[in-house]
Amino acid sequence: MAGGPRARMWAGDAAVGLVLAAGGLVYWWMAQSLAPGTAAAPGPGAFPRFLGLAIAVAGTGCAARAWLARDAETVAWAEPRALASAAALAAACLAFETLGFLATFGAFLSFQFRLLSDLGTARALAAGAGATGALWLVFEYLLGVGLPAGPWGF
Amino acid sequence: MGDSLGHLWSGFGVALSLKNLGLCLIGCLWGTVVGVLPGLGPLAGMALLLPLTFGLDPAGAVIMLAGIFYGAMYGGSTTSILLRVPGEAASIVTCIDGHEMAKNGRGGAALTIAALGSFVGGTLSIVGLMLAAPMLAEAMLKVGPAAEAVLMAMALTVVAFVSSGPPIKTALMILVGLALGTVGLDQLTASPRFMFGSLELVDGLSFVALAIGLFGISELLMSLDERLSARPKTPTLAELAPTRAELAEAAPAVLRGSGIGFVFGLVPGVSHIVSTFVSYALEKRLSKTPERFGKGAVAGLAGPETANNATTGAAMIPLLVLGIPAIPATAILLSALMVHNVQPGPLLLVERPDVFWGLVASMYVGNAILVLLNVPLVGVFVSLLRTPMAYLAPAVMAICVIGVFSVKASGFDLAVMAAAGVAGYLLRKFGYDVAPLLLAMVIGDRMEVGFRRALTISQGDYGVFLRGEAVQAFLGVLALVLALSLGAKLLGYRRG
Repeated sequence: MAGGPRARMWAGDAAVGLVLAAGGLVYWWMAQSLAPGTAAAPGPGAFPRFLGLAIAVAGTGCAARAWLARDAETVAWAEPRALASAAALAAACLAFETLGFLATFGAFLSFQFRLLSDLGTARALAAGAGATGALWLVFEYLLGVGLPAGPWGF
Repeated sequence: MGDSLGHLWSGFGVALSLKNLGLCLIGCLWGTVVGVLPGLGPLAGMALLLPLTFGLDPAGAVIMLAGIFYGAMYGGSTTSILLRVPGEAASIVTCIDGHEMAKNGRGGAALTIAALGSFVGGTLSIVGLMLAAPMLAEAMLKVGPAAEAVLMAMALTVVAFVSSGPPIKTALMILVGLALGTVGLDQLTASPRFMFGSLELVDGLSFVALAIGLFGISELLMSLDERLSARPKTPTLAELAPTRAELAEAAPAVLRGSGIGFVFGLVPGVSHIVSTFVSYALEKRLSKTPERFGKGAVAGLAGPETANNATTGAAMIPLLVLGIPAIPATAILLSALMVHNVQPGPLLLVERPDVFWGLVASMYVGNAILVLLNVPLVGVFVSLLRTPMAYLAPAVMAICVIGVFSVKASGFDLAVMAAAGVAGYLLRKFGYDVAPLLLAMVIGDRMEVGFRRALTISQGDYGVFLRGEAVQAFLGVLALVLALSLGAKLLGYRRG
């Protein structure tokens, strides 16, 4: 089952509620720069102002509900493999246009296979290269999806 | 009725063209695959293939995507029965008695009963779609902006109340979805809102990027927490035949499941999931041997599995006639239609009968394809489960990236997808359902536009949202749905 740090379920639940409530207040504050209009002609700011306050209230309500019902249930909130996998995905998304598909996904898939499977480094690199090549053939060559090339032309 | 049959005939002309038949087959097979694989569901499956539909005509695009939708409903039952692992949320109830049947050596019969129930439920719901949609479309043509705003608000209220989680959590997700939907140029004044000077946000946040992130990526990250260790036994062809007694027990449950699935399929939100629980509770209540439920009762498998598939046809009614995606998967269909400049709504039947009736006819064809292919090919689909997540998850992530990038060739959308994936992972860890967020984001702009237009026309009179036949009809439907939801919950509590 899941490893990694565990958090009280209610604490995580309350934290999500509070973060969203804070986000709602920021959204409401940003909506102040949009014209609210009048009752007979509501402007682009009217709906966001209402939404910002409603998010703040509902988020606080969720946090209060979690705090009132606090129990001993825990949840693994940051499973190390999932976090590493997510970080690698984020890096691949950022590098995709700059480094191109083949280099980015060769590295991404090799890393993921090494992280998630019991393959050694050399086999993970080979599997990553093979899978990247197969994906390139299917999407670029067969389906005609325009995948980006890197600075070295591929 | 005569008109509908005539249109259906022309719809079969569209659906049975060689190209559309092939697209339907591809959709059904891919849908079954994503339904079978834990970590992928109909929404992620449809979102992944959405970019590939851009080069197709609108009818072909929706035929393929709808095939994925109902194919996934079929596929979800395989893992539920053989492994007690629901391929998607609506198959959770199927696990209870379906897996018990498999443990009792009746796994093959359970798969056949699930496939036949799915076929009957799916087909009857398409008949309902065919009969109800034209009447509803005609009525909707008389609806003004106030009633449209009330309709959208009603849909979101229903989602908050029928969702499986606490209403306040669902309401928070809906509000966040509405807020995300305000990003981009204001539809009435073209004023930029929350764009931070970025041209990437002129059309708002990418629905596809958010959908794949919130559902596909977050599901894959969740699946890395777990490991499948069981190795399913593939039933032989001889084991697939149910006995006469099993068929006799399944038949009335299938008919009741069809009705429950159709009614709940009309309700926005998580109706396909709720319908399975209601069907299970009803079958247990009506059974002469309720003690067999949980130990391999055929009706406990047949009813919910049928209800699950009967929601597919019904869920198309709010989408095609009202432009409201009842469940997240149909929001992908909405995106596909809008990419092709086809606006779902009451005029769809008049302006694009080829799309509407082609889709209806293709659903009949697709259901037949699924029942003919899925039972004999069950061994092939089961073998997919032997692919370790260690290889599957990275490959699917790569396909997600390619799928999102191919929509607009935008690196910004990839960042949105990755952020949505992590956000969805954390939200789901702490019990927040992300489906209402996506629904709210899709229909929020129409609700806001209807609200502002209605107030402008009525010169600021808020009473406009309570007057008029259409508004009162929608409010009546809202009251009815809330009462049904309450009744269903009470029934569930009483029968455990």
